[in-house]
Amino acid sequence: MTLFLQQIVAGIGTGLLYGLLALAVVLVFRASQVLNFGQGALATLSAYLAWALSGSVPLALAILLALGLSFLIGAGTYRLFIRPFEQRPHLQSFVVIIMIFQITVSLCQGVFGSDPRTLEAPVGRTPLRLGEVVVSTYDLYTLAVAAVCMAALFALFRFTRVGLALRAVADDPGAAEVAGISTTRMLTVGWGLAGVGGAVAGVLAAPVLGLTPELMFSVLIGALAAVVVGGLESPVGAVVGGIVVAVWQNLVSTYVGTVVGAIAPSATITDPAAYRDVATAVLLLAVLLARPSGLFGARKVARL
Amino acid sequence: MTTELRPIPTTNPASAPRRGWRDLPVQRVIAVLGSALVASYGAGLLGLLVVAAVGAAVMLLPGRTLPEGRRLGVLGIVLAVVALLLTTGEYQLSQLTVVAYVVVALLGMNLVIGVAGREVFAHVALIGVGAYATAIVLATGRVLLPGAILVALMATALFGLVIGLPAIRLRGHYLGIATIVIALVFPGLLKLDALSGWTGGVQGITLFAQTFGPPAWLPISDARWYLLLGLLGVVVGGGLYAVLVGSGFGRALRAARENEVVIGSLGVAVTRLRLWAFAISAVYAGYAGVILFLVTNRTVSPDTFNLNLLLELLAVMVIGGSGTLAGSVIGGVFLVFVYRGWLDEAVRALTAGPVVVQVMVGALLGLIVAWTGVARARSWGQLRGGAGRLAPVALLVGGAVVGAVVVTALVGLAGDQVRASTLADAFAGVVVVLFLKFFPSGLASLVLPRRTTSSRLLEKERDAVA
Repeated sequence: MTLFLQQIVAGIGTGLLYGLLALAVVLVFRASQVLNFGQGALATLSAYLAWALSGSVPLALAILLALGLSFLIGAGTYRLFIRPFEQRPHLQSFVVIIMIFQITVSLCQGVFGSDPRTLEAPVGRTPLRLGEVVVSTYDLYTLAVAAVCMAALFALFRFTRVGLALRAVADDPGAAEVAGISTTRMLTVGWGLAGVGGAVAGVLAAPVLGLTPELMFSVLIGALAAVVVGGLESPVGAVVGGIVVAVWQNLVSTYVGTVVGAIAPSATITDPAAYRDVATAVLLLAVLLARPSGLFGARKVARL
Repeated sequence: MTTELRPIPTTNPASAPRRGWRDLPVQRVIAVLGSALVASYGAGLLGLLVVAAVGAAVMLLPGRTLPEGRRLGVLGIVLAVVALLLTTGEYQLSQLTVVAYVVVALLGMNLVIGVAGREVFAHVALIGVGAYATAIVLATGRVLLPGAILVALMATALFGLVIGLPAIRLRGHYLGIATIVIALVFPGLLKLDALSGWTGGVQGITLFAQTFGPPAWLPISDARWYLLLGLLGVVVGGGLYAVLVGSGFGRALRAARENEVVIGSLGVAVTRLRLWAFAISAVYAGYAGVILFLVTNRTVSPDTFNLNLLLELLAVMVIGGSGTLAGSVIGGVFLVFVYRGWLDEAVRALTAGPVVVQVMVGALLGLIVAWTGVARARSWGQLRGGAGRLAPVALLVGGAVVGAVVVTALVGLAGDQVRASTLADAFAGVVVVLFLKFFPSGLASLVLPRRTTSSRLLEKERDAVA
């Protein structure tokens, strides 16, 4: 039972990483109705930027600068890659997004190399005992950062003029345009914000997972599953979905050996962690089978 | 007084019969020249001349003895026969075989993505299932190649149905996510130790020592036999594709793509229709997997079927022209010779070359990117007047400078040659995006006749009257 609880608590830390990346994906989706599969790669680039800057300026400043640059990268991605294809068939913008992914990964490999780098973290990884369960200080730090990010986003959308305009554009671009809001400008801001959100996930993930060009691959799979579990339209759902997915992954990698051993005693599981991604895909398909619009997604019904 | 009833003129001036070689549509010329060029790759000058001569004859057949699409089909078959019979060299044969399996895979993807309009991105996994099924069956040593192919096709169709049953009902983006996640985890699935008894784990399956050559009555080399199998897939698959798309099945798929609710209320079982399309496209992917296994030295390994392959296939599918038969063939040729071949070489030469080359290429790319904004800058300039009129010029100059700086800086930052060569993917990506910007309907529009649906209907009507 302790092991079970421990895996759930450990899942929350990873889940928040998924959730933050999923949040970025949802932000972009709400703004311009495209799924940015390149968000993970962009987040990796942000983490690399923080690493490169931390060589010359203090760590906290380097991270803040990297977040600022990520805003520009996100906004620039929209202006250079997405906007020219807005009126095109959806498949084309999808290919463009996949190309964003390829370009970003290739830039990381080319400029920073494939050897793992170490991005320091402002907080260490001291284990804290809470009853029978052990919590790492890094997980608490992740939780705090995620909470601050979500509060900031909520405040932005709820209490500022820019947030109001962003919501207006997401709801009805045509009406927003008539009301004098520049859709292009707001979408640029939206993509920039998503860039920052992804960058936060990247900077949080890099010290734990090791900074390589493939840093966010597994995080992206988790984030996509989180988006599906949480529903494409729901920011809160994205974060909740991230935690659900991570806990599920932890449980699977803990118990897969036992379960497979019970069914087929001849099979030996030497690497239970390898089952995480496959388990994620299974969860995702199961959720879609039960609810084709995600758990918290708005159901669009077209009756014949 | 009687009103005179005049028949509505059914002849669309745009599609009036053309006479004389001067009126030869430029698309036909491009098609023949392009095919001849492809033939010259493996079959040299002889192949070029044969395809050019026969192609010209096909294209010059008078009047309406052959519809335009069939002319292209005949041209494609001529090209396939010439490539099969006249190609010399093992390497050339294997490259052409790669083209063949890519074309087959693209046909399958086009059927479900282009024609049915469903964003299914799991075809890489389906190709993988085909290749692995072939390898597993052949590794037992008890089954001959035809049997293995049959098993592989059935396995992919089954796998396609297993994915398709839950997936095909999903709406737009959810379908995209679900299928791309399947594609993302597929290599990991193959590597699982619980399955390694079948899949061979990380190493995959190697049957390099064995050969699966032609039957005894066919005295050709193994490489040519694989090419024959590949081209058979292209010709049969292409024919089937044309028939399917032209039939009521294809029309219903396209109609459901445009408006699902209307076509559903007309009594078409949309979901079942799409499931069929998906299963058929899975069979295409399975055949592509078989040929892939044969041509890559009879080996399969998990990382062949990674995101990179999906990326390449999707890129050339759109570059070729999604939803069209000609686009699939062009896409296959483009992937092997331009995307993997020429473009890669060019970028490697660029990163290895002197700084001045990087500056010039960067400036050119920047100029092209800036060109996309020129119209807006011009209207902005006209609004402001005065110095604002220089806005387009400033934009172009700025774009060129930024492009030159970015490219030079990137190659400089990469430092050594190995790292610089990994930038090739980034450049290829930029080129693909620019290509899409300027050629939205793909290269197929260069060889396909410029005809709209309405004029095709008019023509049918006229034929019926005549």
